[in-house]
Amino acid sequence: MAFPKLVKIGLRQLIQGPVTNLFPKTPPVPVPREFRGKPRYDREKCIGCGACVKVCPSGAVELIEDPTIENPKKRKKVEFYMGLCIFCYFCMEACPVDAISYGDEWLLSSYDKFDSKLIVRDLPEREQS
Amino acid sequence: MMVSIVEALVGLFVFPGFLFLFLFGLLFQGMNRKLIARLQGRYGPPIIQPFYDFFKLLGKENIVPKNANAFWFNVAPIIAVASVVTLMLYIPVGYLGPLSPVLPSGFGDLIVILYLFALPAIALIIGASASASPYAAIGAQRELSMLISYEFPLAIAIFALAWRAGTFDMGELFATQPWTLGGPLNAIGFLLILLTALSVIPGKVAVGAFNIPEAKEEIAGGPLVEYSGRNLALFELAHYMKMFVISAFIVALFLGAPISPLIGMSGFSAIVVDVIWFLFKVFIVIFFTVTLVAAVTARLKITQAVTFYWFVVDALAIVGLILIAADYFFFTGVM
Amino acid sequence: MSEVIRKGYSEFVRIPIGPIHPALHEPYYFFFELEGEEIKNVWIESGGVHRGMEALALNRNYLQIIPIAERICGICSNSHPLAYTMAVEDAAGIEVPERAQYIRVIAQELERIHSHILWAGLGAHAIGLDTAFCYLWCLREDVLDIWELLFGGRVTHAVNWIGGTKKDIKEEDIPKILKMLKNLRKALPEVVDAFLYDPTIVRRLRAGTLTKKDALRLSALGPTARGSGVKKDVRWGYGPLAYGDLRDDYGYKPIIHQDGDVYAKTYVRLMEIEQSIDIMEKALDDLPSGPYRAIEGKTPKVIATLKKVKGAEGIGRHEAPRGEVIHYVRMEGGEGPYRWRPRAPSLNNNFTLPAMLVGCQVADIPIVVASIDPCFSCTDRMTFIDENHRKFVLSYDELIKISREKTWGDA
Repeated sequence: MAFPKLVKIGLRQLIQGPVTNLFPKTPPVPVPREFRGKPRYDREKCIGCGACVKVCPSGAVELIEDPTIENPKKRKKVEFYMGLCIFCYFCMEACPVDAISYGDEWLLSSYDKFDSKLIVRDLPEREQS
Repeated sequence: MMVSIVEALVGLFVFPGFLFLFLFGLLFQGMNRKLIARLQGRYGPPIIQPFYDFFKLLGKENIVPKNANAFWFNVAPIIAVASVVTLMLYIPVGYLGPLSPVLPSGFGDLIVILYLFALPAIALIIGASASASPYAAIGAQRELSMLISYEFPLAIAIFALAWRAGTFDMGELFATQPWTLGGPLNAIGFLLILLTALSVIPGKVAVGAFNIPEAKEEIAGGPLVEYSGRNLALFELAHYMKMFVISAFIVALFLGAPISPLIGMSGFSAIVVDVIWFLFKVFIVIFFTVTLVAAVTARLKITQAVTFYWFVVDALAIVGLILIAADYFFFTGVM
Repeated sequence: MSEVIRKGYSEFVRIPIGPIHPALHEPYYFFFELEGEEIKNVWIESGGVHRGMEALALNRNYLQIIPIAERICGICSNSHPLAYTMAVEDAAGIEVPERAQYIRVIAQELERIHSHILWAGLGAHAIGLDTAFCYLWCLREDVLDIWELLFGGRVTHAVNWIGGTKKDIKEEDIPKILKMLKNLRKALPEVVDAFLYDPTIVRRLRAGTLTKKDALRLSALGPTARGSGVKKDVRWGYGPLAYGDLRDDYGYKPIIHQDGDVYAKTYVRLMEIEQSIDIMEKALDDLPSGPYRAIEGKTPKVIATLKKVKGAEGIGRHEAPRGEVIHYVRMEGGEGPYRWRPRAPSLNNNFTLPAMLVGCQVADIPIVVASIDPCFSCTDRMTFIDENHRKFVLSYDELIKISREKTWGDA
């Protein structure tokens, strides 16, 4: 009668302690450099060409007119709705001026799909100021 | 010997009856779950999780299926709990004497205990058969097959001990250490008998390789598939209490030696120490026969489990019995 | 099937398993006739999770289909977009640069490692061994971390791009990949030992035999076929991407086992993890320099290039962890394909289940169903419902006729 092989694995894990992370209590595991989280969108760089709107598979990017900008030719900007976003970053591939870059924010759950943290209008640091 | 009414009621409801069993059954199940989680590299639920589960289930709606036999469906969980609590009254909790219904002699019979051990399983089978579900029917068939496969080795183990000690009385058996009844051959024989008895525990408690009647991946919980609310809470409670009782029974029979004489204590403090020592031994037995088995073995098929008990465990028991008999007839018995 | 249920009386016990059952992770319907614990008859029915993937693709352009293909299957989320891009490249005649081919091979083998580890965990769960399940998924976590590091996502990998890959592998990341592979190689023997020699696991895995004859007749794919002794592996037979080079340089062969039961399939999968680790190391070693995309420039350029292609059709074949994935694309100008048709390997493998299940016990159902590594949602392509909400089934000839009309117009 052979001996169960998993005894060794089990007892080793009993001694070593759990490998999981009690997430809401402890900080989450850091994400790597080019993690595809909530995109960072630089509104000042954006030229409003609409290439990202055209390539977005889920229709999460919307072309808008920004009335606060004085020059009427430069009023075209975009907004990202994270409720629809599937984090494929095709918009970044499409952008001719590199106004979109990788963001590492991923704690995006909300009860309201139009929550302010689910709509990307500008770089987060600029939006706050 | 007479037992006063107060003593009997305390024994039935507080110690070592319902309340004690409720507390330690659920607590040991919590520790069991925690340890299984640790063996799997997880944190696991808090140790008092079974209490939360139990009280939450008590408050849930109790659904009886339309085609079920409502009477037996509702009675089965009560039979299960009652039979387990009754069993506990026959098992000495580490000492003999006041507050323990098991007195030094004349109380507690092995045959009654053996039959009572089959009752929770039979209650489960009745409940499953009454619930009119094909999954429960398969579960009941499997429970019955398990019952006939593990009862035989348990019976051999118990009767070997009773024959050698010359009594069926639980109190006397508790006071006797089977190892000391004869020479080294006897000790080896009883070691095999102890192994037999220990290997019955995972079958009785239905964990790991023997979690066949419930088998949540196969038949979605088997006998319990239609149970909910209070009835499910009672079945779960009976199940956890059974885990404690069967382990306590094996400990009391084979490993019952109290610790207080060794460290020279007496009186009430000796009883407390003995109870704690007994609970510690029960915990160790549960760790090796329930937790470890649940963590490291894959669930067998019913045919394989029956084969295991009938050929491997029975062979172990019979070899042990032959060794004990040889010791008795050739070495110690002739005096 | 529905006639069988309506028939009423039977001499056997009948139990349904599914669409929702702990043994199944996706909706599928099994109907069993039992005698005691033994299975006498099985009927299966698909169509529980039709998601309209092909309809979604109709009004999208070539690039927008890549994320859709990625979401056909959560676990083969690299194989489907890869086969789709290969089909588009085949139709448009785009030559993929060598570096991109190697990156695709690396990504594909990474997916195979993670999928097979995941399968072994689910198989252990199906036989009630959650310790192995937790341990294996803990090993898989390292693989997912590498996915996250290289391509930015754990489940949806976004590796593929028409004419290459979306991202390049950076030199600084290669040591991290090699370290993960080394750790995995060190941990693997223990797992293999447990699955192939543990007394309780082996007893459970000896069930559900698919004979070589049945495997060929039902055209099983992937490890299901290879476990029955059929030498069928697109990587080493047809040799797409850089697999042809790797095969010729290092002499890789499909891993097969003759027994045909769950044990054989487990053996094939566990050995393939080892083979994949080997391939990844070799591919990282041989990684050529150069561009990683055939079409330089941003998305409008890619779409403009593909827009010019008219009247071409292409096939993308690829060996996913579950078997061969085939994508068909027909291009008739315009920004999107005229027709896109994926075929997941589970479509073939699902119909080997009755052959395996008859004669088994009830206890074998979860592990035998899990043994083909089923992806029920991937296979559901169409469902017909008339006004009375009763399904009807098309015959083979009708289906062929409708398909031809749909693809070729009135032919």
